[in-house]
Amino acid sequence: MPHRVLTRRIAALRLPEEYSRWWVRWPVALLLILVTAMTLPRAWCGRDAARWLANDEQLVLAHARTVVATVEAGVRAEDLSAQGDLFKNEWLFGTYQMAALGLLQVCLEQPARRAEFLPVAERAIDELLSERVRAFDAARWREDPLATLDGPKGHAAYLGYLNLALSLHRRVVPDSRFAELNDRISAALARRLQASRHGILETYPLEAYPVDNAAVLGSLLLHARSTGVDYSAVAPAALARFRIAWLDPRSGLLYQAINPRDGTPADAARASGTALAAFLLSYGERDVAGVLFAAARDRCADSFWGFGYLNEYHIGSVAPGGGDIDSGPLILGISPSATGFALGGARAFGDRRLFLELYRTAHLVGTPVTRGERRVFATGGPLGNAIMLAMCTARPEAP
Amino acid sequence: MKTNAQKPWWLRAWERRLARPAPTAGRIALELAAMYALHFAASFVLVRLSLLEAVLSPGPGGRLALVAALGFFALRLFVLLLAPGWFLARLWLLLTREPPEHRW
Repeated sequence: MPHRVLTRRIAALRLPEEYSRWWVRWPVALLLILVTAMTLPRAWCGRDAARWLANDEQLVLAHARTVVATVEAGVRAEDLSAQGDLFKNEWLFGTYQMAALGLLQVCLEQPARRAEFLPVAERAIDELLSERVRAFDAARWREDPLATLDGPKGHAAYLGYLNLALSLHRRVVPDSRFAELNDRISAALARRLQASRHGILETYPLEAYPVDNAAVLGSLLLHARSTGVDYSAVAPAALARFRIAWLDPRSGLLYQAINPRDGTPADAARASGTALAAFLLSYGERDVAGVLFAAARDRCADSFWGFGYLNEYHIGSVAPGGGDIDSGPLILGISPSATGFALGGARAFGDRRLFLELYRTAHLVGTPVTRGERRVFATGGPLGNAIMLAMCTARPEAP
Repeated sequence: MKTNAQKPWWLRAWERRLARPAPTAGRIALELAAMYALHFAASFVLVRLSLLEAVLSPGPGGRLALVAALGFFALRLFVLLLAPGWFLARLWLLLTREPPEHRW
């Protein structure tokens, strides 16, 4: 059939006149938009979730290679867009820490790929140990965190997150070249926890955050599993604080900050801290971490048309502001950070439904793009992609 | 009957809209394809920018990145959430358009 005839016939296509009434045409058109928006996008954006849950080799390796490229190229604080030097340097530290965790988890899951990913994970740890990356902590404390391990000051964030990467490395490589440092940092953290008046280590002078202490405790319990060191003098009391003292009785969420002078809450109970604490603590133990994850899920998680998210404050409460560096900007109370961190908890605790819903949102916002043998979340940047690898490869059993 | 000058602006705009010929199916498909192509190209360009960081911690220096991020997210939300239904709805409206003799 000639092209022109075909075009004319298509142009002449028309349903019977009864369908042309406005009260048929427009409601059906709106219904088409609504039904399609409620069904197609959720199916499209959730395609990869099942592959992540099944450790699909092609997907995991493609994303891990993006993180490898980031670590190999090196990250500078100037590459990150956070406001202020402190946050830029914290994000720089966070990028290497999450990259190390993610790549080590890939090594555990795919032992055959260790030769490709282990050296890069070790390079990320070397960067964590470098003077330029630890400078942010040294500047706030006016002392080097690694040179003063015998001292009394907390350094909870730097040492806690670093030690978690070191302890996980030891699970992958029992004769880890970082073993001696891992032992020394663990001993220092345990001693400081025991000496702490309110059982909380400060992140910076007069600033203490339960989430950073979750990294401390998770790293100690993971270290204990590799070495057999006994932390019974500190671990049970610390876990009890996560279960009771630092939990808001109304919401079941962790207080975001604790006043280190008197041990009282210094900020509201929030989902971003709770979800990340559940993820970090899950490296060491699953009971208390599971309680935290369940609280964040049950009190803050919600979904719209199959796209999951976490509210920063428990459902039913009013978000008191526009968000901060921990939560990201809150739009209708939705917390970008909590939503991302809860992916790790959902995977670690086998909540497939929540993982699927949260992943749809991550796909929608993150914009995954395949470039050659790499898969990158286009809007994620170095930090976002490192976090996604760590969360989407979180292990269902403690490592 | 009111003259054109007597009608409110929205009525004049609506009449102008109705007077336009209906888009062809090819044009509807082409517009959709163009939107997806724009979104696809923008995704690859944005790999080089850390938009999520700009959104998580917007600073005065990153205002342009924030605007770019929000613009891209608006396009992505439309392309992923609404465009398929929008496409079907336009086809439906095309198939059920009034015969020319009935058009206002």
